[in-house]
Amino acid sequence: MTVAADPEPVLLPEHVPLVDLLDRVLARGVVVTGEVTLAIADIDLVRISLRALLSSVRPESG
Amino acid sequence: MRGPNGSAMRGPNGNPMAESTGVCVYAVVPDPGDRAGRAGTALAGVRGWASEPVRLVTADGLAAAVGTIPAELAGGDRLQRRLADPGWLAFAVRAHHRVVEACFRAMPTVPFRMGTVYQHEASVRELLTERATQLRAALAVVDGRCEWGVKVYHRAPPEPARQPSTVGAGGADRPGTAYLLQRRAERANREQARVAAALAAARLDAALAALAVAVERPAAAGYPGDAPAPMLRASYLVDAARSDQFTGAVRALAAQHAAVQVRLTGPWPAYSFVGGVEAGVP
Repeated sequence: MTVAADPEPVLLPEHVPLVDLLDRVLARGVVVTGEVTLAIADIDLVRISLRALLSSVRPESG
Repeated sequence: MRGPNGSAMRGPNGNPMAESTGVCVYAVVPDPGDRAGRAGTALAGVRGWASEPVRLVTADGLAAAVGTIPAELAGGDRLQRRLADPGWLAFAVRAHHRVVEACFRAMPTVPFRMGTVYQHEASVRELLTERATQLRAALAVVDGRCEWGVKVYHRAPPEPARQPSTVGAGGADRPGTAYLLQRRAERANREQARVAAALAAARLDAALAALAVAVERPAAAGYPGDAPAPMLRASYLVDAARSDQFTGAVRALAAQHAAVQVRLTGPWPAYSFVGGVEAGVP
């Protein structure tokens, strides 16, 4: 979705392109070390899944 | 949508097995004091990525929005298998965001990275106490503000149709020269369009940054879905009172610059502006 093409470019959370969501949820936000048992973004399987997800959904084009 | 079946949380007698769980942190907010009040209402019915209810754990004037998740999602082989399933990952990511979003709608919210899991609630309280100064500073930064995501793409000029007749007509005697000249002209056009787009992106960024409290321009996108790569990928932290002005400016600027395609998302919880909490991590 583009601003130029659409008079209402603001996307509701449910319609947020997955790539923007993944970018924030998995790549940003506070990371703490110490007693944390897990940081999902460090797991390679996530990257494989991400690739599959993002190649199947291409909200950017259009 | 697949949720966990929850069987790992219960022993053979159906009794909860306290040892086999993890405590997942979604976000930190100010301790609302009255948990039945605004914060309680905000989180009522909200479920995390194990489809678990979300509650607040408080210490030192701060509160963490947490959920108790089954051990199978707190690490180990079974989590690995889940993560290999793109459908489940998409479900979990959206669930994480829903919790953060629910907090964000009701109070200042410092989002945590997905997958921050502690073994015990006591460790979450320790986190709040040990990082109280940084967390409070982060809350002050995001209070009354939201994040807007902007991506600017180069709108490539349409490829001029290469008419076979053009090559034939222009170069009846020297077809090779005509072809090379045409190629050179096309290259020059593309380069010119790229420069125009870069200039438009820079102007747009400067105008938006002037309306924002802070800007984050992360390095190249780490995700393959971001194709083609945007010329500008930025997040702006904007006072809530200025959000209308900000989105209006995005629209106006996008309309002014035909060379670029602009995509705006938000308002987001301030995912991109809470890096300060990590400072001082050993």
